[in-house]
Amino acid sequence: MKKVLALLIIIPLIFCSCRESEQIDELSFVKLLAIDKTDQGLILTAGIQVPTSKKDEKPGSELISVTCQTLSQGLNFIESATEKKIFYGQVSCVLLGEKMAQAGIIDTIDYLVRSDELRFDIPVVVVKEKQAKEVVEKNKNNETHISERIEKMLESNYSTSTSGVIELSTLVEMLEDPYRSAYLPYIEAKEDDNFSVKGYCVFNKDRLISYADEQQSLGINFLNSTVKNCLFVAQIDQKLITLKISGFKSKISLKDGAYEIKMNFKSEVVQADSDIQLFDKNLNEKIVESQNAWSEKICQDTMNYLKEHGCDVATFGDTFHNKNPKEAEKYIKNWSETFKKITYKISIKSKTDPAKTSGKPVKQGGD
Amino acid sequence: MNKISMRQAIMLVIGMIFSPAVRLFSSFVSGRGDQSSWIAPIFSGIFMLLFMIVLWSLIKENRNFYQHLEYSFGSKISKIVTVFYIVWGILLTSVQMRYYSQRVASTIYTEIGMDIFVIILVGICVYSLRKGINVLARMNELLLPVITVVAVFMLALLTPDIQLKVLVPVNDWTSLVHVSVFNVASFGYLSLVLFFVDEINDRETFKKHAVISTIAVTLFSVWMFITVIGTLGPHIIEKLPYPFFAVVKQISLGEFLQHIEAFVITLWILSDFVLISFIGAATVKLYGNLTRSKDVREFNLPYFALCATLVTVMGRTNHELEVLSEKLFIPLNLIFLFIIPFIVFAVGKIKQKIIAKKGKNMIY
Amino acid sequence: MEIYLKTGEFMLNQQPVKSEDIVNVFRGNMDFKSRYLKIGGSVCSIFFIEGMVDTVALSRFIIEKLKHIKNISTAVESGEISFSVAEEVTDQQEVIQGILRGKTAVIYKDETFLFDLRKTKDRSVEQPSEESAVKASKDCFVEELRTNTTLIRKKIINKDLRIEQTVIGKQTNTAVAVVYIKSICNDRLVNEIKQKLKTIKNDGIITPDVIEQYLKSNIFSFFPQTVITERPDKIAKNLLNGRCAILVDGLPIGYILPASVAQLMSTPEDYSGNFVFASVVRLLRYFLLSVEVLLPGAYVALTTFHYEMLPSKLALSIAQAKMGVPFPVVFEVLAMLALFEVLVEAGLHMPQSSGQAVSIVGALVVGEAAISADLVSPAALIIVAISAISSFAMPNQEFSNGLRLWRIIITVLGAALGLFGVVAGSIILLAHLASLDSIGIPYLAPFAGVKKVRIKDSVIVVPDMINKMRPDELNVKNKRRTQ
Repeated sequence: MKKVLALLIIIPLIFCSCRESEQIDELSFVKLLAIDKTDQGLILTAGIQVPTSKKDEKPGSELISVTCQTLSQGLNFIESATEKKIFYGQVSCVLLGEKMAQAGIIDTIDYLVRSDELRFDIPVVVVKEKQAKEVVEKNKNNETHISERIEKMLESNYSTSTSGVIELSTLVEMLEDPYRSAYLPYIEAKEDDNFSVKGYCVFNKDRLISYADEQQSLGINFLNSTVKNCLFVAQIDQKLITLKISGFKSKISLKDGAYEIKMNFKSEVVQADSDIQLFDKNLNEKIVESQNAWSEKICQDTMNYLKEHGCDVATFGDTFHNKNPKEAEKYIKNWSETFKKITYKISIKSKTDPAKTSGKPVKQGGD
Repeated sequence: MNKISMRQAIMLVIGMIFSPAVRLFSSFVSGRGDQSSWIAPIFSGIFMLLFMIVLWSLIKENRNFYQHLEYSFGSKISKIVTVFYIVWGILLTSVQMRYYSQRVASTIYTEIGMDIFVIILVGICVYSLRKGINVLARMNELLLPVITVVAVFMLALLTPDIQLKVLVPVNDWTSLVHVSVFNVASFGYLSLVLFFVDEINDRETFKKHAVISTIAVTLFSVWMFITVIGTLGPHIIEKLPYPFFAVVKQISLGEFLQHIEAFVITLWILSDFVLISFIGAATVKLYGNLTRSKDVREFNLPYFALCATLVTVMGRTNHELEVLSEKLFIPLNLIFLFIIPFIVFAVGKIKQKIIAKKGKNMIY
Repeated sequence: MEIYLKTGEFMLNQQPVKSEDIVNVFRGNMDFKSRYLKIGGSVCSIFFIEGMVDTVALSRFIIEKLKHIKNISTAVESGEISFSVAEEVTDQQEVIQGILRGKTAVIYKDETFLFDLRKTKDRSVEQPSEESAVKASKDCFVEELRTNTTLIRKKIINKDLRIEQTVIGKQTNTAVAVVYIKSICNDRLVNEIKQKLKTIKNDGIITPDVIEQYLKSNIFSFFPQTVITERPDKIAKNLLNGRCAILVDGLPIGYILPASVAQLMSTPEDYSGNFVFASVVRLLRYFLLSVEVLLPGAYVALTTFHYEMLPSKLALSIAQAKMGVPFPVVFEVLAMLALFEVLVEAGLHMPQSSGQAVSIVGALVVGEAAISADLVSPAALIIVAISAISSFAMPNQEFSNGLRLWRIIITVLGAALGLFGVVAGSIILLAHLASLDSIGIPYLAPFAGVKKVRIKDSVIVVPDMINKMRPDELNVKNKRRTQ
């Protein structure tokens, strides 16, 4: 009898939570959030994938754009703008308009981090010279959803390493670091309403201040050791040799008040003129010399750029802090000014491996 | 009543430690120890290995904890101490229930109230303990490998994302020692084995099992700390209410294995179930010893029901719970799991020596 | 050679044998026959039940020989009556029982003998229908107890093999045999089984579940606590491991005790071929066990509460497939599970001639029409189908039946509370299994509740030359298999 009573009490309680459940076909999955700033406030655009009732068709795409004062208000307006329940757990990209990024992103990022549904591994991207909403609207009818395209573009960028994926968690870490400046990948809209991933944009505290070009973005990846692969075309004895750089590692150390940036990588020949003797020792030495010079130049250009803007996107400040925390604390508040004055030297160690290109080259008959 | 083996008892303790270890270190451990908090479990492990001398000395006497209290302090004082233990047990069970329900309600079931989870847990605990501790021990023999395999799998998936540079340098050793005290409060549940000595077979294997399990738990804790702090960084960790949960959100294996935090939370529930059931069983057993009841199983339902009603008074927010843990429960755990058993051990030893001396004097 | 050993404890109230009493007991029974011979001035009474006795043998070996005897015992001792199975009895009840079992009672000059002249018109030993195996032996039990015990004797030619018989059931007086190997089996186990059989005081045993109920530690459990088998080789293997078996006259099955989950998950086929392959298959079975129980509940939980766990393309695909279906996911899954149970039940009872029609209707109704009519979504159907197929992969159907019921409970909990509900249901199921015992041995042995967890021969199959020790949890007398 007691067991029956206990079951009679427990079973209805178990089903109390049923009212909080939703069927999966009654949801709209938000794939992308685009946040812009205007004089009136914020424009929040949600790119939604909606399942269609026709089973052979691909899911449909919908855009909901609302004007709001705060992000939470905007998300609320989006909820009320659609007949289905909005689910943010599948958001795969956050786009920030240029003005939004220039006005300061910390409040926005703080809200996104605290959200129950949004995750930490969402890439954050800035849109150059346009509103994020415009880019999203123009790409609305594309077969592949814009969020997927951005994701794939950022991933495929690893072949050139002129940009990269910066997730929400990494961005938070950069913003929280008292020395470090944040940087994010940015996209630029083309004339044909398409867009491409161009490089990194750098922030001073939480405000966007500048866009780095491709070489400078590559340099930022050099400094942070986030290069996966990149290509370098060396011209040696008026012949072109294309080298693939891989295994890139860099380390920043501090000695006697001066920084040393050590870079280490290896290269392999992926394409060369057919009459080049790749196993020639002299040639290899020239290749190494050439790639060292190239990487040093990129690094220097990048450092000049970063110093000009006072953006420590690498770990110069952290290195100083780890070496001498008490001394470093004096410079925390105006580290960006101090960074402009740092001295550094670059030392590069690289090697090349011609053996990857094997087999006889194609030659003109009779030669 | 079926007895359990020492291996089962130690496995119960390991199963209990997972939940508080994952929860405890986050905010106050990483906040105080900074990036080098991962060293804290090593200190805790070393301390536990030393404390095992005390535990072994008590266990080999073939007396349960209440009998030890009686032997060391006499009948009246032992009853008073036992009452304090029972009150502590009730409060500890309530706070653990509160932690568990709050975690479930604020991570994956944000729109459902906590009460349902508490009530269901009470039902499960009472059902599992209705035939005694041996059923719980058998269940744990299957649950613990599941928890371990999943935890190891997740940590293995997260290990490539560890940034070693955020884990060094080790700055402040004194605060690390201070922080390891918090960690040892969860390792200390090993002392609960004392409560069940009369229900355990093969007590002589305690040393072997306890040493192996302490080393294993220490290594696992270090790995877990390194993974959590190394993945998100100490600054983020100390801000998050459930950093392990946040770290698990990062796990991604291709496109088919990602966003598994709901699954992880449900596994966390398994550890919470073992923790709450075992603390409840230990407290009820102590009550049975106090009241000289042969069968304590009928007290399970009122005990857990009482703990469930106290859940709501354990603080309103997560922050209040953490402060309550830090200021009240961790010191209480240290007192009841370490200090009092040590005093019992010391007094017992002194008494034995006095009795032995008297015996010699009588002979001569 | 006598097969049955008398068990003295089952003898009740000894009464001297009188012909008139025997006739009075069976008065009114058309098949009860009596024959009286006058031999040397005294009457010799012969009683038997027509149809159970070989009357030709009776005439040739008994009646023909009786003409010239002075007393039966001398005739039996000297070999004049040369029939092999002759038993002197002094108790009336024993005579009555013997006649009821098909023996012939001969009463002459205060001596009473029972001769076993039973007709062997039992069903012949055939291939097992429920537990088929490709390479293992192909004999199975029949309804006749003696034939069954003979099948076991043929596999274990050992003087220590004990077959101890008792009679159960006030009305049916069914013979029940407890079989074990004395030099291996723990005496406590045997005594406990005998004790439990003694407590059976009902009308009789006609169906298999009657004995099982009395041997269970928890009669309300959905799970079997004995292993029921129709294979003598399975019983022989378990006897060699230190277990006991129970055979019942009239039932073509044997019970193996104690039972455990590991036993319920093994088949004779595991030991018929390559052990590596058999181990993989066993591991797959354990995986399918969890799939059977948890998959529908997990599917309902994920699509109702935890959408973030589904990869986005899969989530969209499921959502798209479900568009237009008017019912919630839990209803779809429960309806499909119920329909599956209906099909299984129909399959059990339908005549063979209409089997094909039911299969076609089932496939069409469940597969094609339900999806086309948007009554169920394809994803739900696939999930239920996978779970259903997993249930048929379980070697023991009773165990699978228990899991099927729990599957429904866990599905409902998953719908109510998501993954938390699934986990809660799993904990309760585990608690239930952990609380079960089979004759004092934990049901979860050898995984839990034992001194040493044993993976060999439970999760993985090991070759005989490696598997040298008998199962530890049975506390057998002779632990070593090989010398």
